[in-house]
Amino acid sequence: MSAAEPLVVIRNIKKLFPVRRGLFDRSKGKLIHAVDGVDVEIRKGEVLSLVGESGCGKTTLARLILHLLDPTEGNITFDGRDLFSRNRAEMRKLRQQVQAVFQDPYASLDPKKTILQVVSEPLVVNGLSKDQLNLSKLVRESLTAVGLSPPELYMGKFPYELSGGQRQRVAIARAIVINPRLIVADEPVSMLDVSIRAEILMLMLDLKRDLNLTYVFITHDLAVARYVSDRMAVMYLGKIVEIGPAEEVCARPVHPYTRALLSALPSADPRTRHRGIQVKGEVPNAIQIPTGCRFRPRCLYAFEKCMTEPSLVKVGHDHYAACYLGQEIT
Amino acid sequence: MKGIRWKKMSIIFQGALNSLNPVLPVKEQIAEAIEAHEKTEQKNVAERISTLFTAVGLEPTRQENYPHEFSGGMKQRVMIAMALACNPELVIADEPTTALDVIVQYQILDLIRSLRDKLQISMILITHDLSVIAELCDVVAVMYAGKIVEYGNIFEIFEKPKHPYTRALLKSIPKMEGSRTRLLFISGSVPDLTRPTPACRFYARCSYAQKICSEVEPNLEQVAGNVSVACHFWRQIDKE
Repeated sequence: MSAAEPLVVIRNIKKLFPVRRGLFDRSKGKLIHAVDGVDVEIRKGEVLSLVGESGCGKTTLARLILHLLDPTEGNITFDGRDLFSRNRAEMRKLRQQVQAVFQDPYASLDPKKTILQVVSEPLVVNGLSKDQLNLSKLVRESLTAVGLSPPELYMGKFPYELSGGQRQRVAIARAIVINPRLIVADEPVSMLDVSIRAEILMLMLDLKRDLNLTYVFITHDLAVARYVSDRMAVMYLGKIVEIGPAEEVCARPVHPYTRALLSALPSADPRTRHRGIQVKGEVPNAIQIPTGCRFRPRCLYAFEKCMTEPSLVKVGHDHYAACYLGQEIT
Repeated sequence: MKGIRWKKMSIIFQGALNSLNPVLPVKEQIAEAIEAHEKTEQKNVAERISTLFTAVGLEPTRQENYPHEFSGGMKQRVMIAMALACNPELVIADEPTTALDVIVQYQILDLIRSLRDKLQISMILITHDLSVIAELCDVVAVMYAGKIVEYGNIFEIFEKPKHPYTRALLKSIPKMEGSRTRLLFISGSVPDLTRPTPACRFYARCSYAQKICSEVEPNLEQVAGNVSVACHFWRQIDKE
């Protein structure tokens, strides 16, 4: 895979959240390091998946890319332009090119709006449709594209009348209706039934091909990530610890954390039940990040050098890992 | 029923995070389970809880803690300790790891496996996650719309599923090995169970469906040594 041109460039982005002051105020002034210095490029036309356990910062990173949050430090450029520009008109324009699909299709659709209203909202908000006729034409096209056809059957319905899979299709229709270039999908299939998951994944990949989209795909499910993505980025405590071609990362993981994740995965074949997992302890909280390599306290390979935090180094073709052992442990 | 509940069989619920009372130390919640079913002295109860905590991999001193002081995985361990409190013969685990991250999931599945081996208990594991089943079970019952459609030895069913639903289900999950071929999926949705028809319940979504499937609901019949299937056309499917 050749290194295509980057669409989004993320440089040393950080997002720290103050710990909310509770009744006894013990954690006053403490900060949660949700995203703690991420550098990554999203290439035109690729599917980049972000994987990791809860609390690793993958959703916060997604929200930064969507500009739903302002970063504490660092910046993101979209097609060469500053995403966090103070110029409102510029910001509006950039935002139209980035759309989101969220995890829970039961919560992400306004229950009081019809499907027509839900899907047409991005057009209305951005003033992209001149008249009602054109508006409903665009909505019809979008619904047809996500497989809700004939669209007339769905446009007058309310979200409660649809199944989970259909709702997620509506959410996708809403995302594509204004022709974005990037879609950030945060666990888009996690809440769906197994049999419907495959259907939505196939739809998303077909749309990507037909509409020339780029995806950031967030999931905790490594098998799903491997299936949909070109490149996979593994996050741990707010940092990317390994990134590379999806199949390569799964077949030849380098970072001990990636290996731990893969070793923990239950096998889909009862004949290859496996025991033995390569990690100790639990994820520390993101308030007191361990010094040095943040995976050090749980790592089976840690040695002295790990007291200084490693940065991402090349370990294979287009494959990088933040570990001193590099290829040595493979 | 009261005599059976918790003493003979117990349950591990899905939402470990919400199944514990937030305002009581976990010790008291487990003690409650024991005291409701057995006449034991306070001292013995405390001792038993310590033993249980050790068995599920928690520090016995942690029993004084409140649920919010535990992580998700540890809460699930507390739930397992509670389920084992009265030495049941059968434990029903309803999606025991669904809310957990992979590494924690592995640790809990490993714990469940070792406890089952050590204590010789029977388990019913309820889950939508086929790989968790592949990892842990001996026998599997595949349910669809309120009925068991395929039942039997896990190795036989995962290797050569005979019911179209089981087949589709197994082909719809992305795998960690091999090439990334197009996933199959089951189009349509589950039938409306408020209006039962004489048809096979999978009829509307089945690619093998024929006229008879809309008229006669197939019974679960034993087809091979250890497998039962409810499908008119299992023979044909089996030959493919």
